[in-house]
Amino acid sequence: MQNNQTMGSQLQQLLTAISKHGNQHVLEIQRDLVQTNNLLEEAIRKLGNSFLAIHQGLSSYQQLSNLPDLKSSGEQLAALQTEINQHINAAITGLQFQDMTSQLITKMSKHIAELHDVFAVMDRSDRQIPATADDAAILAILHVMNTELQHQRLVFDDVSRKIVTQQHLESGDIELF
Amino acid sequence: MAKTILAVDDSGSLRQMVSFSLKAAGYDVTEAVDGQDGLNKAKQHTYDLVLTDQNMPRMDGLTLIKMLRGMANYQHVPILMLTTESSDEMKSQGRAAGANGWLVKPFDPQRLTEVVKKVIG
Repeated sequence: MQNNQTMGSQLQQLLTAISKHGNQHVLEIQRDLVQTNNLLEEAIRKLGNSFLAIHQGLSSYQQLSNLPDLKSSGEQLAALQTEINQHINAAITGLQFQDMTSQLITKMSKHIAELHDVFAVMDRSDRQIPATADDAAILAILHVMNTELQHQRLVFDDVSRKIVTQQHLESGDIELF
Repeated sequence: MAKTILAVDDSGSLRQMVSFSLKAAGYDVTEAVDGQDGLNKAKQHTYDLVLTDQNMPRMDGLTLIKMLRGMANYQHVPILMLTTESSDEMKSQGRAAGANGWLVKPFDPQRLTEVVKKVIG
């Protein structure tokens, strides 16, 4: 009876750990995927707008510079130049999506690797249990599995630290110390 | 003589955009692919400003700052962090390590140039 209770609690602990551990990794991956998708969508929209605006600005610049009276169009040319530069700056800000999304993808890959490790613990233990194993042997294996999963729980905290919190492609804060 | 800037980032596209923005403003920019590369380049030349990312392979930004502050010729050189990290905890760590400012990505080229101009002229 005592043995069954211990076995029961070890099994319960194991199943809870697998479920919780797996769930946490999957949830993190889901959140990161949504964030990646949002950043990509916004980047494409902004870059599209910027490139169209740059194209329009350059066309207008070309037309103005072809006018015979260059003196009167000088101010307009300068204003257009400023406008084009602003669109180029916006495009540079938008292009930084690659840096952020690649960090998110790296984080997701780490979660998937951790999930793979959880399954590897199950796989190793499965091979260790002989068909005729007695309760004590099974108990010992369950204990090893639980210990390994507890160790992986510590790794999760490190992997899940958010290094990209940006949800939008707006330029970030600047603080001088 | 143009002021010299060491831009450290493991993302090639980011380095390219930082370089493009600062060179357009008249600065002489040298790129480094991570903290270790940045440290090696800083040993060969004393730059007027160092702009570094935080999360990089081989050596992160905070470690780079600590190493630079340990070098006599970098004790007073302005060092700015340019990173996706924006938590107060990380900013405090940066400040403690010797950073002079914290810029959160993505950056706007005009704002970046203004800050650099304010810091080194």
